Amino acid sequence: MEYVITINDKKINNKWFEKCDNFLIGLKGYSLYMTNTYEKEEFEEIVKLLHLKEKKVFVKIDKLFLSHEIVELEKTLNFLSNLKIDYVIFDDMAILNLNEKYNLNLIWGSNHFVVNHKSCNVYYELGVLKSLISPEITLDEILEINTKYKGDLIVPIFGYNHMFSSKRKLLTSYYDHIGKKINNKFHTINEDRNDKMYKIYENENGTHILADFCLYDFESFKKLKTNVKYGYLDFSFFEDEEALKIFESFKKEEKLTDKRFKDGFFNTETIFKVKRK
Amino acid sequence: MKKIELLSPAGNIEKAKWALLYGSDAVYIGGQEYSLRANTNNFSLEEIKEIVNIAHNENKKIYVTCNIIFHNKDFDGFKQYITKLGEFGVDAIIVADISAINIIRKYAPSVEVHISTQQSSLNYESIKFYEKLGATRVVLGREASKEDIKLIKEKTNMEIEVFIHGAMCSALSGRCVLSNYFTNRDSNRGGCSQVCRFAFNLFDESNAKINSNVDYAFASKDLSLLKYLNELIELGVDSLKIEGRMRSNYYIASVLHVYRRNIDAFYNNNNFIYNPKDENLLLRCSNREAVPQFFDKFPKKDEQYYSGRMETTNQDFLAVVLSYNEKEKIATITQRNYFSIEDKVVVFGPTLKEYEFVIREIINSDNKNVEKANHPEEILKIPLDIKVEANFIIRKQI
Repeated sequence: MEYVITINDKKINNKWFEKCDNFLIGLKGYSLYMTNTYEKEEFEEIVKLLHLKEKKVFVKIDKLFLSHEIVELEKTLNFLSNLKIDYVIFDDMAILNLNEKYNLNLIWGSNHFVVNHKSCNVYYELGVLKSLISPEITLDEILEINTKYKGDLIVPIFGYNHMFSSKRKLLTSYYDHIGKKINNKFHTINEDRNDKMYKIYENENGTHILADFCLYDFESFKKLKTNVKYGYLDFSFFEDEEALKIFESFKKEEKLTDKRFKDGFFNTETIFKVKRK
Repeated sequence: MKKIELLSPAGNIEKAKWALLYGSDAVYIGGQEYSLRANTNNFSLEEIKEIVNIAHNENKKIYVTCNIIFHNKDFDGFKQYITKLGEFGVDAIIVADISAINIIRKYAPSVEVHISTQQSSLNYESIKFYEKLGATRVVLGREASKEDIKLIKEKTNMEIEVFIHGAMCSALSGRCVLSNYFTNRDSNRGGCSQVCRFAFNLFDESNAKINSNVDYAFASKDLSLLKYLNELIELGVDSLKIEGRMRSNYYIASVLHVYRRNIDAFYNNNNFIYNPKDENLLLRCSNREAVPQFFDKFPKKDEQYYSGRMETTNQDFLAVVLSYNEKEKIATITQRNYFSIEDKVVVFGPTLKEYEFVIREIINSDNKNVEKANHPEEILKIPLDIKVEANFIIRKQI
């Protein structure tokens, strides 16, 4: 397994260069869920640095675009093409449709949709040779997809899964409604009935909600490690030193224990029919 | 000028018949598998065949939703199901998962493919992509503004379907799996448990609770584009869609009655005059506030609810007409909600805008006069001066 990791600081700790070959960077205005995103100028510097270190650079462009944003999107695709970015993870089909002009290496990563092998293969036939799995399926389903998929899978193995994305400003609206001023747009929500805390935040693309736990399942990881091409680790909300230790444990295949960690849907199948016909 | 399509939901065959009766040009339905409304009755294959025949006899259309995002095992039986839909002659299948497009093209090549709103298609480039794959229509995401729709119509040849009325997600459609995490129900396979309508405590970045007598919820108010009907038609939108496969017969009939009448008025008079009274009728039958959402501006604080579920109930729906004796001017009706002698009520139907009258007399099934109608489903007779037909509706005067 190769690892793809996010960075938390544009001044990348040299230790990462020794440990990892694939880096996922957020581009401001285009990466929905990433807590660290960079303006184009900074982004360019980071990409150039990583290329200098002979690393592969992934960018996640998972925003869904309105018609009037297409002109700007084209400029951005051109920017990424000129930068020789290695991979672009996309959600909106506009990117796939426009890619004839830009010839980027695309990865299908529609949030919550990458859950079967047939769709992955449809995109493969369209020239999209990798897919980023949505973490709402079981380990067995992932392994089956991996077997039947012609391309390479990237599987999230660590980090806070995203659950919700809206174009609306759902925190600002609430503050306006109750007549208060919002200062910081990172908040948490919970229900009275339990103590689970969910991260909710606003950025230029709207409002986003993350799971109450950090995805981690050692047994699933061990099975994935020998089967899938890439494991994706999102270190948002982790200090760099802690992230380095965690990453080291993945590489050494050492089990971690932490109350923030849960196995997500690796071992739990969702249902959708609650009534018997 | 091609007349715009009015497209209505139906959760079962009875509702579909109501939708066709009340002026829907096309009805979208779900089978018992592969549809996002997994927990409504939906249609058996036999019922799909039956409603297709009924609709086609009236030169109307039936679209079948297969708009789940498939997990591997969900494909079991899908080819056979699609083949059957093709044999029945359904007019289109609405899909969200790209793999379903190829399967439909192969196993039911005469059936059109419509791209579900679950894909949240909001721009002309994504729509061009689906055009290349052989889809004939895209149901736009509900975040598209008037300007976005205009650009899409200018730059693509695709048929465009726009939601005009009903509930809407707070999230981008398809990009919410709160149900999966909160209730283990897969929202993209029809299990949505509407977590956005739950009430939450909100904490700021320092973990301090935001104190307010208002809960934190992020439920969207409903959508109504009645006010912009003329603009939607002039933009060249092909189909106007009403949300709500789980809604009642009364809701479907009432909403269709308002939109059908106003669309026809536009084409008959080349004009549309927005009447707030119609908006109030729509509000009364949905019981939730409805606003234009993204169509005319970016939604802010007034476009959402903050206290979880905000439905209010009313008993506006009083009775359904079963038959009418023209000679005696007596309507036989089946009661739905309480009414009594001297109540001012309204009757409306597919061919009748509305007629106000006063309940002068109520005769029960023992042929006795009674003062009030307070037994649901009771068959009653009432005098009515205007000719009505079966399935006309009597409601309170609003």
